[in-house]
Amino acid sequence: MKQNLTITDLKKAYNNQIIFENLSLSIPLNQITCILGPSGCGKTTLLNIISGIEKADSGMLEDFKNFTFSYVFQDSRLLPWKSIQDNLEFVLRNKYTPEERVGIIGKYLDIVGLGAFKHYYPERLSGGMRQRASIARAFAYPSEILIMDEPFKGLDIKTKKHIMEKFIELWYGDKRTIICVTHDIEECLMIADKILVLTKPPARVSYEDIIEIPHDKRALDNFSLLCVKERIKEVFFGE
Amino acid sequence: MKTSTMESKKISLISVIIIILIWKVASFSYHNEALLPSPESIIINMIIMIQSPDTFYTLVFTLFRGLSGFILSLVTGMIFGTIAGINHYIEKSLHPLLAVIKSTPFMSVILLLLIWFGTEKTPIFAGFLVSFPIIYTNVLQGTKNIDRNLIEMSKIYGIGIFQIIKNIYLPSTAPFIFAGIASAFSIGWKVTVGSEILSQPKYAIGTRMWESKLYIEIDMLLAWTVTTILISYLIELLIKKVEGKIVRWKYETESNNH
Repeated sequence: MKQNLTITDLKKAYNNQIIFENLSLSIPLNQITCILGPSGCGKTTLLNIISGIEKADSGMLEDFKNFTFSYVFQDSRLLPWKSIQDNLEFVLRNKYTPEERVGIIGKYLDIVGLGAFKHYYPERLSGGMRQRASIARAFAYPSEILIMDEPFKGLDIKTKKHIMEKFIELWYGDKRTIICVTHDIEECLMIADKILVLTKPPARVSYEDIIEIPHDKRALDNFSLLCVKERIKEVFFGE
Repeated sequence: MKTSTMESKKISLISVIIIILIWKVASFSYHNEALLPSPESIIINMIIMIQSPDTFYTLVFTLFRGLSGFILSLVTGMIFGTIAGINHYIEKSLHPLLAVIKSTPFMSVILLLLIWFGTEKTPIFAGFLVSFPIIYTNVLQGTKNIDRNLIEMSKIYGIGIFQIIKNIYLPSTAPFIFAGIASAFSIGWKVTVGSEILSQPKYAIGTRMWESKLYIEIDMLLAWTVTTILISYLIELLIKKVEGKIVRWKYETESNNH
């Protein structure tokens, strides 16, 4: 049984700009991998290549081919003409029977604290609530890999903390493989099992680390986390 | 939102009453029933008109022509609008044709159609030609307005193309289509009746109007005109009802924001 999913010698360029040249990395199964990097380093492109939205110019991505994905985007991407419940229903239709769907949708909306709002249209909810609905959708969908593209961006500190807690709670439910990109170091320290830091394009992995502290024991003033933070900062600003 | 709808209904009713009053005063002071009949004599004429079996056929045939042209423009407008919305080159290549249709005086189009299609079909095609650009333009805008991100999201979640059409494409374009439908119908309807006046099929509101003009029966002419307006109004009401059902989410979110 494989423990890691690997990408080898990935190449991708837009016109004349080379985004990835011989990028290789490995993603541990059933863990949370956070990919950090400066803006424009190709984080979203990497996720799109992994999930099959975009094609790589060359490179080995065999490990990702037969997986099903769910995705938490920067924006919530909910259908505005469907209630929150129907938005989840929309993606689960081909996966479960109607009876199963009712139970699953109810369960995940309750975890993210939206049980009472299931009949609301997205427009009537705040940005944070919409993002929680998007996270519930991604977890409710029976994917093997969950991809997150800066899912906590643009949220205020209190909402962000709350949503991150909910996210961890959901993840402990089935411990599926998660790949999350962000440019927020602290966010990364709080949720990641494995951290990968990318450089500016053409991107390569400039730092990687594994955090073994259980999520509920993590605090930003924890000494070993502070050390990791300092090292990441050095890599980030040392370039 | 409810109160503002009530209010606008009240204002419309008052303005209709004022128009009828002005008409009544004008016909009373003009004092010539033959040239400017009073509103009540039009109503009496309409009641007499309804009792004639010919009226039934006249209404059915004109309605059939009006609705045929309208449905034809709806179907083709949706197909071409969608294709043009997806493909930039098709939009550009259809542009000159649309410009020609829009700017050609419809009287000359009707005369040409008369020669090509004969009296029965001309009103249908005339109605179609004026409604089509309106539906097409609205569907085109609606298609361009579709959020590509939602389609990308659906593909990741393994949603099939038919579900995407039903759940993303149609709801995205519906508000745009309905914005065009009401005006497309009323303009198409007017042109259908107008071209009946020129082409004169056996059973047609336009033919009855032409005959009334020929025999200088102004009360009958006005009775048919009022009937035409009433039918148009009723169908527009029906369209609004259907719209309310289909784009319900928009009204619900809007009413909540007010």
